[in-house]
Amino acid sequence: MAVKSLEIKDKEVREKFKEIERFIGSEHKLNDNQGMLMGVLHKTQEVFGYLPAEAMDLVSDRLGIPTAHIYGMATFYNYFTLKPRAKYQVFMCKGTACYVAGGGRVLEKLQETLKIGLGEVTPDKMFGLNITRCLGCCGLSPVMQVNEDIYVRMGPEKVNAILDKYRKKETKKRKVSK
Amino acid sequence: MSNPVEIVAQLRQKALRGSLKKWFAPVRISVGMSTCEIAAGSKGVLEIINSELKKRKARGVYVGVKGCAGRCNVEPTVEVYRLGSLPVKYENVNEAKAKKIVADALSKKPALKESEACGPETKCECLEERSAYVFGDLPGFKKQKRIVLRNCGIIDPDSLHDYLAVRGYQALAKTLSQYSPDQVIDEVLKSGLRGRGGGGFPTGTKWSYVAREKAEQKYVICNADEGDPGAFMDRSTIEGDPFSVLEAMAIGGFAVGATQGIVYIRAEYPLAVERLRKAIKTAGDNNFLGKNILGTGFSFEIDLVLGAGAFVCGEETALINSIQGERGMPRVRPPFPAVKGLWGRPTLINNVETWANIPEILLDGAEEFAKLGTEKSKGTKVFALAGKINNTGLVEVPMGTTLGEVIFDIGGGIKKGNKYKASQTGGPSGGCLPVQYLNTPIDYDSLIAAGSIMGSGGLIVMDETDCMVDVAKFFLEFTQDESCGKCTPCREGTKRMLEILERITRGEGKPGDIEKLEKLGNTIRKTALCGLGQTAPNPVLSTIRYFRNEYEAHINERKCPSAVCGELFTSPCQHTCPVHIDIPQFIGQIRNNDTKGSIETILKRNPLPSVCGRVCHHPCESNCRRGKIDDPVSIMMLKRFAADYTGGDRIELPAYKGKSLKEKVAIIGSGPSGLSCAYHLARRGYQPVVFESEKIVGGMLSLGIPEYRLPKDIVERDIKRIVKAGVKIKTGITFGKDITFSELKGKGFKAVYLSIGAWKESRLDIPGVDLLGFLGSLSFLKDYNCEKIKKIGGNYTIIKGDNKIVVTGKKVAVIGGGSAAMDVARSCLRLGAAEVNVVYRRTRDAMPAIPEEVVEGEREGVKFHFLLIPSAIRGEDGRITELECLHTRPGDFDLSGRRKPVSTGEKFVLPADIVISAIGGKPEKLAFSGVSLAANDNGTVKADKYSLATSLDGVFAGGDLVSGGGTVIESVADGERAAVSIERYLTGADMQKGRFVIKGERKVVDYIDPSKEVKPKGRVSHAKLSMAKRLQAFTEVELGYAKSQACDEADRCLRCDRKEGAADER
Amino acid sequence: MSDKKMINLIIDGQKAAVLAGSTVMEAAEAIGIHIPRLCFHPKLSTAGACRVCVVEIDGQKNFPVSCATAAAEGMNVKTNTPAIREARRDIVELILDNHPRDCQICEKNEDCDLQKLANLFGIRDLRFDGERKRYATDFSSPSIMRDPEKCILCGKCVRVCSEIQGVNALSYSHRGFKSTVVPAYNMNIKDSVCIACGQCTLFCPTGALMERDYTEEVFKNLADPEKFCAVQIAPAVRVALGEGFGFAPGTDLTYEIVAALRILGFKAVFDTQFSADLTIIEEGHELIDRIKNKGKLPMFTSCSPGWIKYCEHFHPEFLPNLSTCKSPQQMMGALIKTYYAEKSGVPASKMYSVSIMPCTAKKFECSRDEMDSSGYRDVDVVLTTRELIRMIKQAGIKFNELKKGEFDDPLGESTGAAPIFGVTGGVMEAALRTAYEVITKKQLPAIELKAVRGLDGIREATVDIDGLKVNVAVVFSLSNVHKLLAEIKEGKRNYHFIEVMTCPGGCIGGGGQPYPQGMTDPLDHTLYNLRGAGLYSIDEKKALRKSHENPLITKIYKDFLKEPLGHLSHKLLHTHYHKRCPEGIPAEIREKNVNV
Repeated sequence: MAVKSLEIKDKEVREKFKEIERFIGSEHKLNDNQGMLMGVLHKTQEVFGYLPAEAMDLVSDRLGIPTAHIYGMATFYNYFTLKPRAKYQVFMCKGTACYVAGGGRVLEKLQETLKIGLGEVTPDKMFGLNITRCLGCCGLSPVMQVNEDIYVRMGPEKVNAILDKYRKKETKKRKVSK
Repeated sequence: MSNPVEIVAQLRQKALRGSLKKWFAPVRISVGMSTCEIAAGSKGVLEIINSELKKRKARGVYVGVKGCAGRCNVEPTVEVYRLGSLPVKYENVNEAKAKKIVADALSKKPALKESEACGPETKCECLEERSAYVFGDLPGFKKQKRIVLRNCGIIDPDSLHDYLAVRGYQALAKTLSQYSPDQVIDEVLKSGLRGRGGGGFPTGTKWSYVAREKAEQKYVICNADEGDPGAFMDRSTIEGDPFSVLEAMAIGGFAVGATQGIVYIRAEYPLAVERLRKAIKTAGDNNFLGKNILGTGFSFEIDLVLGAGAFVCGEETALINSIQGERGMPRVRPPFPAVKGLWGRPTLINNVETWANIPEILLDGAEEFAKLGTEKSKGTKVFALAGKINNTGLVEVPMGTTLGEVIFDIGGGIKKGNKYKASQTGGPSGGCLPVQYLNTPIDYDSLIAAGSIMGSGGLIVMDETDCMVDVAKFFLEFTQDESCGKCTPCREGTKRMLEILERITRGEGKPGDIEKLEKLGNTIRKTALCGLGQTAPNPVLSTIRYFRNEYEAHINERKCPSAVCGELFTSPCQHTCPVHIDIPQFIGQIRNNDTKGSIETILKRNPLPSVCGRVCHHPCESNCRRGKIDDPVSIMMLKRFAADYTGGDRIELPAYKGKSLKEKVAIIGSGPSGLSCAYHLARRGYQPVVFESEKIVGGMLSLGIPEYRLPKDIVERDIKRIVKAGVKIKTGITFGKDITFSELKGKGFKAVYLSIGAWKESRLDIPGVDLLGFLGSLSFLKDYNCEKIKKIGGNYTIIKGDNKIVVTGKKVAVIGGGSAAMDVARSCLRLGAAEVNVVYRRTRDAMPAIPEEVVEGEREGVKFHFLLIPSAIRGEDGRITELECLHTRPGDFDLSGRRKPVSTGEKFVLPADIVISAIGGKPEKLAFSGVSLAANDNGTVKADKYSLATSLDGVFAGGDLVSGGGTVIESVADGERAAVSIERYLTGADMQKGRFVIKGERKVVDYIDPSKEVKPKGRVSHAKLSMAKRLQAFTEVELGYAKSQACDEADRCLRCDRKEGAADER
Repeated sequence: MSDKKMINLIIDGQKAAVLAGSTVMEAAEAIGIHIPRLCFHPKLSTAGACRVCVVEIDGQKNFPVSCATAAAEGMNVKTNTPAIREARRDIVELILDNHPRDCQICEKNEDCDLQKLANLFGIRDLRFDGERKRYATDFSSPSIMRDPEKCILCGKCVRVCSEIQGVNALSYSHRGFKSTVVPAYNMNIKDSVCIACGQCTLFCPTGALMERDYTEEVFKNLADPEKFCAVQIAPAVRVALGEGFGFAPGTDLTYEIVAALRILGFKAVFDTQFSADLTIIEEGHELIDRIKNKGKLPMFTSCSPGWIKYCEHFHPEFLPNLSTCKSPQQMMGALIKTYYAEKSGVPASKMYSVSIMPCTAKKFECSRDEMDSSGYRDVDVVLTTRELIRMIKQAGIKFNELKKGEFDDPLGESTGAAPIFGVTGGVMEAALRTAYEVITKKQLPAIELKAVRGLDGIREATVDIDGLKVNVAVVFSLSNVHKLLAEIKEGKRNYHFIEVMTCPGGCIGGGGQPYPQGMTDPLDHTLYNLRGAGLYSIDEKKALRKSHENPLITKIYKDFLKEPLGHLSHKLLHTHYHKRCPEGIPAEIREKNVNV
């Protein structure tokens, strides 16, 4: 189920809607509106960090594509997510090489440390945990990704130190903002 | 209007002039900047190099970036090119090394040792048109041939100038000005290029199909949705050389009459997307894309569409649906995309690797390309090597290179010297290829014949620590998860197959599960809609085909032989121990100063701790999780400590508390297996009697292993304890001669366990074995242990009937490379031999002997001669004078995964007085009066795999007699297994039922803080006898741990048994 | 096409010749071999998904599906080898492994295609038992219930909703084993753009999509001595209900149904055909009024509730064009609780008004807020033809042996114009019969207007009414409607009056009609022609065939309503419409104000 939670009248949301509309207006149309859908959904996810139902409504309306179809698209592709993400999304690669190299034990350790399961987010919204299919760094397996940062040659013993890095970053941010 | 070829040539000149500072810089430093390089830390390296240069105010140094050369195992990598000099390649660059690189680049002398850099003999070829041999001197590159990856790791991917410098866009210019579309297709056809995405459909044919369709609009698509987990050549190609793909697509568009190209690329590759976007823009700005390209009137645009994480979109109809804004579900073909593709129009789809070949084919001609490869598979193939292989990364080899060459010559062999088990090609759609396919030439058709496919080129190498059922489960989990759900067999069937596999790996497998998997697999293969479904069962079917025994072990014995399937055990060491000693428990007890407790834990399962603390092949250590961090825990040495420290015999066993049972059981042979069986029967209350034909008890332990490895009093110590447990041993009674089955029956023995070992030596089939001085290793060791080797006149002398063979002062040649050869060789040195030469037909790393023993032997003075095969023993007057051998070279791979020695015909002669053959043994043919025991062709006795029951009622057999030659601990395990069977036999219980049920509660000895980070710390080394003392006598060499050392070593144990759940008590 | 040549192939050793472009399945059918199937439907696009129809073809290593494989010259096809039988059995078993084991208590029992196939293949044990999908059943809609656990993902509902109805209320979501068919955002059907037409329930091979069953509620009310149960039956019910009892499609069983309803305990049995005649009077006058007074044109008929909801969701700009007339069902409902209540002396508060309809959307229609002009719910509950069949069976009524019954006065009499409401073009024909005579005051030259009959999705005609050229169109299936509306908007077409039926063929093809029996598919023209012919023959047999000639209609105007479009008519017989979240999208987003 997609989350219906956006306050459409909210200024920030409106700005984001406009950004998506601008993108739709500028995108090269190869054949028909539906041909733009993949690109528009990517853009929407980029703008909101996920695909809120209201944004899919917007896309549906502007491209003239049924909402049911857009929902079908959003749930078909792994890359799209319908839930707001954590601040730091941890992805453990579950490609073959990482698996053979013992990525499973790193994942175990992550679950143990964060006390959450796959696809879940910690109560403080700091970390989310998921698996990803092959990041193409098989030669350096096991590989773990935290937002844009990629960690290679992972082992369960490295997990805590890496997570701490992000925890510290957040505390620092908080201090600065105070 | 000038000719496009000239335009491009001029542009190239301009590009070179424009970047004079770069190409002709006195020093050029090139830093890897691809996803993998960045992940390994190359951004930091680049920063440091820049800041270091700034700090040093260096002039004339150009710092640039490059894509990935495929050397993932040594990333980050940096190359330093000096004008007119040789490029130096740096590996595993970190902060400190980066600083040294700058220093190195600025001074003329390398600051780093040569071993830290790499191969200084390469010439700087960066301005040559063919740039691929920058890395040519690296051993892993010798057998490679780079077409697709020609520019990867050489040029700056974002720089059109760089691309022009390495012949970029010359193929397009040539095509547009010199060829008609038909001629282009003809070239591609002639090249023999086949689709690199997996299916291997002839590329030229595909092009011609699209070209012959009449339509107003056609499309050209580059499939860059590389979803195969474990393959990343497409990412690397785009990240390292994006223009080559764009150039190729323009050529394709010209050939088939399309003006619009689309690259469908994985969104998970942000860097590749960014580089491609930039390249499209740059190409457009420079009229390599867009309207009227190079003034030829040909127009071609390229758009990007990002995939969104659906493996099935690699299937072309699914990919088309995805571009059209549909769910990426495949549709039934025909019509093929060539006829009805994107938006119903003719569409040409090739994958990145296929496209990347195109400019080279057009530029150098089809004939040149077709020279590479096999008859039906032309050109090269890029493989992504991963798994348990030393050189992980990307390699590109001519088709027809054998799997073994790729894995061993290019990939550098298996990590940690482990044994090769299988490789998975073709990813989730492919299959596992076991050792017998190492000689298979890699091409489309050979791989299919072997039950796998080429696929997109993922090559995952697996060793003995990988469980094939688990691997099959992994792939099925993947396909099951990636199934689009459209067709029934794939959606429902793969789920059911996965469930069965999950059941098996959880220890809940049922008889018939394997057959169910095969049945479902075949139905899915035959009826699924698309390639994903049709090939999804392949990993399962191929592992069943080649590793059925592993499936059976999981189902029938609840055992994962590689100790991977975590739900079957608590700790891998205990699970791999053939007798299931609770290893973490006893190690924990040592750590807690409870040495007495530790030996009691061991004795529950193994009555020979002192022996097995010395001569065990310790499979437990091979899967120790500590080994993934640094070294495995030295389990054997800790066991030895437990046994030695408690003095062994001082430990009173907890007395047998049950009712004493009257049944007598006869055990034939007092080797480890017989002793173990007797011990476990006695502990169950039975009355075991061991019959031994020799005067000495212990079988192989006392007769076959030299004392410097296993002292006699140590063996006696363990035997004493066994006797104390209630075992009677009668020596000097030969079964079949002194006592028979019927006599045993008459004396009231209710069951018999046969464990007489394998004492017949394999015959060396060369001339001269009848000469005096030729011996077999077994009889040699037996002679020594039975004191038939005596010191006569200060010389050790072997008494052979009337003949005497003097060892002292003689030259001894030992044939073989196993443990027996080492035992014999080192014993001979101790017997005063003047010279001991070991002759082995393979290479050193192929020796089956434990590496430490080879090292110790060498230190003691044993000389090794490799790649020699004995051809004759020559002598004078009935005595040996020399051993004649033939040189060999490593040939094809044999079933052991090693290269078969092939004679070169050249002779090698080794002077020798004594030649000892150590090439293995087999059981003596048994002759039992009146009864026939079913036997195998090789003379071993036939016994049920699980119960060890023979063809005779009440008679069980195990140890070497059944296996033909195993290890001590396997024999001990057989003994216990037989004891369980005999108990079941005597009580009338079912032989199988409940035998392999995992049960038991455990008390965890806790001392580890689970949140504590593990800091790498290698094995605690133990003392050894000094070299000076060694050759004087047969004093034990290895001296074991002191208490504090044992405690330290025990502390390294990670206690992986600390998870909840059942213990591995069986 | 002229270049269509014949293709010769061998199927199971038999020679077959089919037109180029035919599939292997069609070729097999042509020589009398029916290949089993689940996801294939001749009127929908081909999915090739269920794989039940696999065959062996020489030279092909896998088993292709016959529904999507083109017959080719010289092909040698085998449809019944042991390997094929085994593969098909495995596939059906795999579906069953992930399906509830509740055949006995499933409403679709005995009408279920999956059950039939399981039986056909002799599946007697499930070898690959494992995890089964678990989802809650969606009872939110008054019309359709959705039980995703029973869904076998054949996708016929998705295709019919999109390709035939153009509504796209359903889509596949997620993928692989987790695939489901759901409305957007997995919302309830009630909140979705579903127009409740129920075509999906006709196409669903299992019990995953079915009408909401109200039989138990009706039984309860029939047994309640405090309730006075009145019932009305729609035209299309009477020619289809018999299919549930072995009668041929199209058999007119009007009076047997009346008899059955009486046995069931209904105190008053009325004919929706009466209010159909009434509708013609009101709607005819409305049309004349709009034409004369330059009202909003074209005017669309409003008796098909699926179309109304569709218009509210997708084309709110056409709402003013909808006739304000209630549908005959609702008119009848309003009259029962006013006119009849008054006449019979039964207080409306005690009345329980049931209607028997070929339609699932009627269930939604009767629940609309505005349908309470009598002061009570106009209609309390709507049963589909299928539900009535179930009730008759449950009550043990030997339907085949029933004597004819009679409708109650005064709402039981109808003209020939009324039964044809149940078939596409019928409303138009009935309206024109009356309009012509009302406007011209002359006899209609030919009573039957063949131009508006037939099973083409869009039909048009121009009728000359005394020099006034009235352009009319008849359309069914909302995908056709969508096309037509687009062309009207573009100004390509110009009409005065348009009859819109939601379901293919009109009400005879309604979503609440009996499941086609035997090897007949829903949307089968032969079946729909038979049902239609049944209605036309009822029309032909009537002495009076124009609505305004119905004496009871005259009477009701005289006694009660006074005049067409009068005050009371307006209150009881007319209604209004409102925009609904267009395509499910909130108006705030729809209104391009985010753009500002």
